Amino acid sequence: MKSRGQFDIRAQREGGAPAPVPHLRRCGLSWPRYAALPGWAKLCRAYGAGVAVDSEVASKKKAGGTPALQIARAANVICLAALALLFAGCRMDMHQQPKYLPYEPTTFFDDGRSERPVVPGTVARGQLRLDELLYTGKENGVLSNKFPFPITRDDLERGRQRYNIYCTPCHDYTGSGQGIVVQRGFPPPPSYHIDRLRQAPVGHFFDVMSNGYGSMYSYASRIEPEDRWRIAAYIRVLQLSQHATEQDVPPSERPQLNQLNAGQPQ
Amino acid sequence: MQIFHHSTNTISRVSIYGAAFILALLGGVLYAIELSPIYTRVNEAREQPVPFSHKHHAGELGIDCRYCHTTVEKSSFAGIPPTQTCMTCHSQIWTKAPMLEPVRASYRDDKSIAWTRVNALPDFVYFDHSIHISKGVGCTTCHGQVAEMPLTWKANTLYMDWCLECHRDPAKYVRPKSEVFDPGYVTPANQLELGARLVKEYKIHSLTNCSTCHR
Ligand code: HEC
Ligand code: HEC
Ligand code: HEC
Ligand code: HEC
Ligand code: HEC
Ligand code: HEC
Repeated sequence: MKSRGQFDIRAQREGGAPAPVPHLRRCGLSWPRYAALPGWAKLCRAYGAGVAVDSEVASKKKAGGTPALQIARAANVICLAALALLFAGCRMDMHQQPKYLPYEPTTFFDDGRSERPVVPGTVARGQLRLDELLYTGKENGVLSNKFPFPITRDDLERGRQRYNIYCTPCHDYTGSGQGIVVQRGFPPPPSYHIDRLRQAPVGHFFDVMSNGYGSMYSYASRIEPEDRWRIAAYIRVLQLSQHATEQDVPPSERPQLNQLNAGQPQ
Repeated sequence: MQIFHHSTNTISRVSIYGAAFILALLGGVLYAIELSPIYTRVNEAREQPVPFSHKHHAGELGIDCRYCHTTVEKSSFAGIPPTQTCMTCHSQIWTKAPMLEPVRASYRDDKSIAWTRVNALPDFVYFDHSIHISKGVGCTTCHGQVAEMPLTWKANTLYMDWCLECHRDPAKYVRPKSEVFDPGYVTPANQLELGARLVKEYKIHSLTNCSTCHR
């Protein structure tokens, strides 16, 4: 069942690394709605008080009163009712219900967080993670070169999409390690096309994403295990792409390749 | 016995009509204020504890929205990045910048950064990002040119009439799913044609029932 914001909080906790979740504060003129309009509440109160005094005086002086006074009184009652309606607009019960939206701060707990950290060692439903290969990239404690599920074309497409979101800022689109953030001074990661990484088992890529590596942080909190495998598969594609020969291209596609080559200044 | 002078008759009459007039005027003024940026805060850049710039990160660096707003595709809540996300880069670059001190302090002391909410609906409205994303409504359709904002502001009122304007006829706004996250997407000239086709292809309904949003 999907309920507001539960999902992301669990996911962000999963990474293991200390990751303070942010707070989202509602503030400013819009909340509460009418009270912030200058003098509005004061006006309401003043008018209310005026009516009260007026009717007190009137009831002391004379029961019933002149027709004019009666009309004035009736008008007062109507105005009061109108004000009550407007005041109902001042009430914020439904605008700000006594519930916490994701990341809403609270004063109840010392650290101010409304969503509580999971007690260490808790295993949530569906999070038992007994499948060693799927969740650690290892078999019997050794990094494995096997994928936990067969990789289809859809998986590769998904892998490419996720890679482009999460990895390209540093590793760039081809995996050579010259992403935009590296150009702005981030220590360059190694190219995926060096021998060591070409020989590395796929489990290694899964492991780097899950636990981080040197100055690279873990992406476990942001990428689901299945997607990490798809990214690993896509990295294999990238590696292949930089070491492909003409023989790897199906004969039917080769003319197209020659056309592409002809168009490119060598 | 005469308590009130005759002139009070006129005064009371005038004040009755006057009150009605003033009430109407007040209503009009309130309504005008409610629609004006003074109250809606549309296009008003908001102060934040860290001067985070989408112009810099999403625009110039071209970082995908989902790098930071990870849950936008699969949950109702788009997600505000935890400190760790900032630190994936800022543990190595701009590590001395004073304006990033709140981020470092948050990471050091395990204290939340308190961002100021820019877009907020009243609690009685149900909103879900994931459905809009998966039906081809782009971020910029609702949030404006985020990648050009040095400090984030609200681009639309988020009032009910604004939601309904699209819900009545989504064809005017939907784009191909592959373009949803593109902050520089420009609506093509043949939007109505394209929209009509996408509405069919993505099986988009026109949801105007009250219980869609008030549940
Ligand atoms: C913020 C920049 C950054 C991002 C984003 C990033 N990495 Fe890295 N990555 C690095 C750096 C820096 C290193 C080198 C770390 C070191 O050697 O200390 C590295 C190293 C690696 C390595 C090589 C480890 C080895 O054995 O040398 C792999 C594989 C890798 N990253 C995969 C990924 C994947 C997959 C993603 C996307 C999910 C990703 N990285 C996203 C910065 C980044
Ligand atoms: C580097 C991380 C990062 C990236 C990339 C990023 N954002 Fe943000 N975004 C943030 C942070 C941090 C905040 C909270 C501070 C603020 O409101 O400016 C935020 C706030 C927002 C808000 C306002 C939230 C509120 O308070 O109502 C919107 C809308 C938004 N982002 C949309 C986008 C879109 C659209 C993209 C992609 C074009 C994007 N963001 C890319 C980090 C990021
Ligand atoms: C993918 C890498 C990356 C991530 C993630 C990232 N930043 Fe940055 N940020 C940069 C780079 C690169 C620069 C410097 C750009 C330059 O050199 O022109 C920068 C600059 C800044 C600056 C100062 C420069 C300016 O004019 O805006 C602030 C403040 C900042 N970042 C805040 C944040 C916050 C807050 C977060 C977390 C929500 C964050 N950044 C996440 C890469 C990143
Ligand atoms: C149909 C309009 C619409 C679209 C499309 C949309 N948003 Fe939003 N967004 C909203 C509304 C409305 C809110 C306020 C939600 C609330 O207060 O509950 C919001 C709030 C946010 C917030 C603040 C946190 C939250 O979830 O309340 C962020 C961040 C955000 N949007 C980012 C994005 C990004 C990134 C995209 C594109 C992938 C996007 N939005 C697409 C309407 C939209
Ligand atoms: C630019 C167009 C657009 C805007 C603006 C927009 N929506 Fe939607 N909305 C859609 C589309 C398209 C769907 C999907 C309809 C379908 O399921 O066929 C949708 C679906 C929904 C759903 C149904 C989700 C579900 O689980 O059934 C809700 C709730 C919703 N929108 C709320 C809102 C609210 C609240 C606002 C205003 C703050 C808003 N929308 C603004 C286009 C829009
Ligand atoms: C597409 C989503 C959507 C649908 C459908 C919708 N509403 Fe709303 N409604 C909203 C939003 C968003 C607001 C909050 C506007 C604001 O910020 O004041 C709202 C506010 C309201 C309010 C409170 C106004 C206030 O300012 O306190 C009432 C009453 C209301 N709606 C009634 C209805 C009724 C009746 C229907 C069915 C005919 C309906 N709504 C259908 C989105 C919707």
